[in-house]
Amino acid sequence: MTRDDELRLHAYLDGELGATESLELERRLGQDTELRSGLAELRAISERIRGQARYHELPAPLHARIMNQVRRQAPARPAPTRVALWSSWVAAGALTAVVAWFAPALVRQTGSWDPRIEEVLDDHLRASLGAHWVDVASSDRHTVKPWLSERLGFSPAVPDLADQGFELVGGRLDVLDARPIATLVYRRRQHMISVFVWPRDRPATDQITERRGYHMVRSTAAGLSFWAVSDLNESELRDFVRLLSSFQ
Amino acid sequence: MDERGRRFEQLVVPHLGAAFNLARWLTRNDQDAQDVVQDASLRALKFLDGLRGDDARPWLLGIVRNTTWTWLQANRPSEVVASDDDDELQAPAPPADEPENSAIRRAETRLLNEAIAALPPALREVIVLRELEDLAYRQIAQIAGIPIGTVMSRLSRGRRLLAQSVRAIEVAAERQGAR
Repeated sequence: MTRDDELRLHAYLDGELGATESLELERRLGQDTELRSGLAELRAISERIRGQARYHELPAPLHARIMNQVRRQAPARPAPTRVALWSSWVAAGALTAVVAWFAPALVRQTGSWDPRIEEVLDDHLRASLGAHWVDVASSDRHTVKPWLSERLGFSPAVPDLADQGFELVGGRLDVLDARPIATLVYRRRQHMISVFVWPRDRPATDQITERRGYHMVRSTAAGLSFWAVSDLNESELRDFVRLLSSFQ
Repeated sequence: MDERGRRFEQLVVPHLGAAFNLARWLTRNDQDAQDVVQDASLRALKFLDGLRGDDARPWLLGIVRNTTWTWLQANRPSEVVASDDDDELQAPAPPADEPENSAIRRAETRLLNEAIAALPPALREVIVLRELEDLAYRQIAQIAGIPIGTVMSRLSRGRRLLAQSVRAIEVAAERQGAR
């Protein structure tokens, strides 16, 4: 077979031959057995490569590192305006009044909503949309804790709460205020819970709120700030945070 | 996240899998591929304004390809000797230890993957871009920075070498089966 014919066969197989040339080649294929077997051989190897060559999947930690890089390069979220702060304060106050009536046990302070609350919620939503919940998947707390402490300057206790109905899924890294923070991921039935953990950097009291259909509970323990986010119902999420804090 | 970050997330992030697959096939090493892809995504973020239209995949693969070649030239210069001439390359030899009957199928898959990995990188990249990414000749030419004619001749050589390897594998398997 000539070299030109061989290249023509590849191009034909790949759908890269023009209409006229294709017709001409097809006419010749009908008469020329060598050409025909050449095409069959090419088709076989091409299908074999497509079927058997490994497609290397993107490692989850690399995905997380790149996303963190992107966020680090982006300028920080602008501070909320006075009006926005004021209105969220009012909304939070109204919500708290209702919640407080049902759940008097939780201490609430509405005067100091952390503006990072939206950033935390975004991280949870991003994880749920991409179904990228964890960078290290493990139900073994002895795997998750060292993985996190290796990458951060701190490490939260990662208790096994399976007996209480909260299954440990793993951990991932997120970014808050341009700093890497630890995120623990637990599951209660089909509800995923992200727990964002970072060294406590400003006075904060326990808080509870609902944003865009997600419950958010904030707590502190052992010098760490926790923010749990989930579509789980409020009372179970609160129990979970209380449980988690008790292990710190 | 700012506008550029959002655009990156929307247009580029969906193709990070393809980026990693290409870098992994070219470097043949997980850790090196991760380093290269991380570096390439930073470049992609930096040059995002240069992306025209909405199809970021060939654009990103072009950045990944160039980053990988620069990396290979710096770290494994012996692998990237010029392979534009039409030297007849040796197809990888069949395995010395012939596969067990029960595992022949799995072994064939493994050997095909080894044969692709053994191709010179200039042929390997057109095979990966055509067969695994299903890209058009024109796109492959842009990504690899070569004329379409070169894409065609490299693809033809790559497939021919792999077909030889597969034949060698099958002969070995048949001998095993006949025993």
